[in-house]
Amino acid sequence: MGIRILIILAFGFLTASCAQTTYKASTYRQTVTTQIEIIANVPSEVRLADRAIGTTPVTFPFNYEEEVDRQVKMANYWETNPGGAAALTVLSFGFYLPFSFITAEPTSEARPAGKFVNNRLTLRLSADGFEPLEHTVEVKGEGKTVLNLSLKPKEK
Amino acid sequence: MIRKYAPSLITVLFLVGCGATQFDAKLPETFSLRQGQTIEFPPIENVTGKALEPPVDQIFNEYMGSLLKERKLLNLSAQPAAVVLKTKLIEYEPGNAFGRWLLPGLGTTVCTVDAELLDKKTGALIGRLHSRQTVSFGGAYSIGADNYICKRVADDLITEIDKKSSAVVR
Repeated sequence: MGIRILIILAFGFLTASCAQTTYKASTYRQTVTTQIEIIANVPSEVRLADRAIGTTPVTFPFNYEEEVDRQVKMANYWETNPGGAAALTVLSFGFYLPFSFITAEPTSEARPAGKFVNNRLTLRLSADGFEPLEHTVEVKGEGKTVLNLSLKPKEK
Repeated sequence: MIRKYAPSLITVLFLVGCGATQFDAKLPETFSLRQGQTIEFPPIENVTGKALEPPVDQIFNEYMGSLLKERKLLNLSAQPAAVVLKTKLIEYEPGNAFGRWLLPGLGTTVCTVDAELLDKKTGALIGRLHSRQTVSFGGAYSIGADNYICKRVADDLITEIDKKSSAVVR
């Protein structure tokens, strides 16, 4: 009788564990930095919003954010601590085995969602005798982006 | 044979098999904190979307601050710090000891922190540290895990910072 109940319980727990799926628990943002290198045909002053960056050629770090999804999956003790599960099974003379498949422990995984925030920057280049240039660029997690820009001489 | 050693094995299991650590550090080889350089440590940001009970964010802040202070790494002067340690509490589960006693994994206490080291001067990301600590097994002796779990995370972070700091007196 006892063994039958144990088998039914084990089957139930196994079925329940197989039905578990991953779900998105929360979203947070992490910092991403892309090095922006600006090269121009003439030495030019570079400004980002109201901030002076320097004279070309110039490289500066640009910070923005990337959304990260935290995925949660309920797992059993075999998945999270197989050594512990095996030891408990042996030490309990197998009594723990059917219960060991209960998916009770949350496991977590962070996956970048591929969505970037504040990742667009507008640069203003100026040089004496040349038309000012405004250039907007969108970065998406690249380590480095090289911008080769050209300023046109002012018409006389 | 098993019967003979079972009590000692169970004791060992209770002592060592209580939790797990997941730690990941992505810091460049070239990065190091020189003598006199300090770290700015703003309070941890709770991004779990939950109200924290107990207030583990405050517990983490106080403990992490004391660890940095012990090492003379916490920026307390008017001079700017070399780096900023920005931390985010991304997962926290208080769990419960009764659940863990009933079944390993049930009532698991979890604390996960994502930390970023940023260059104070340029704001550029230097590296990232990620630590997840769990207490998933144990009975009465694991009571209080909800309070100390995030301290274990802070210990993970400071161990990695220590490796990069020549200023630390060991």
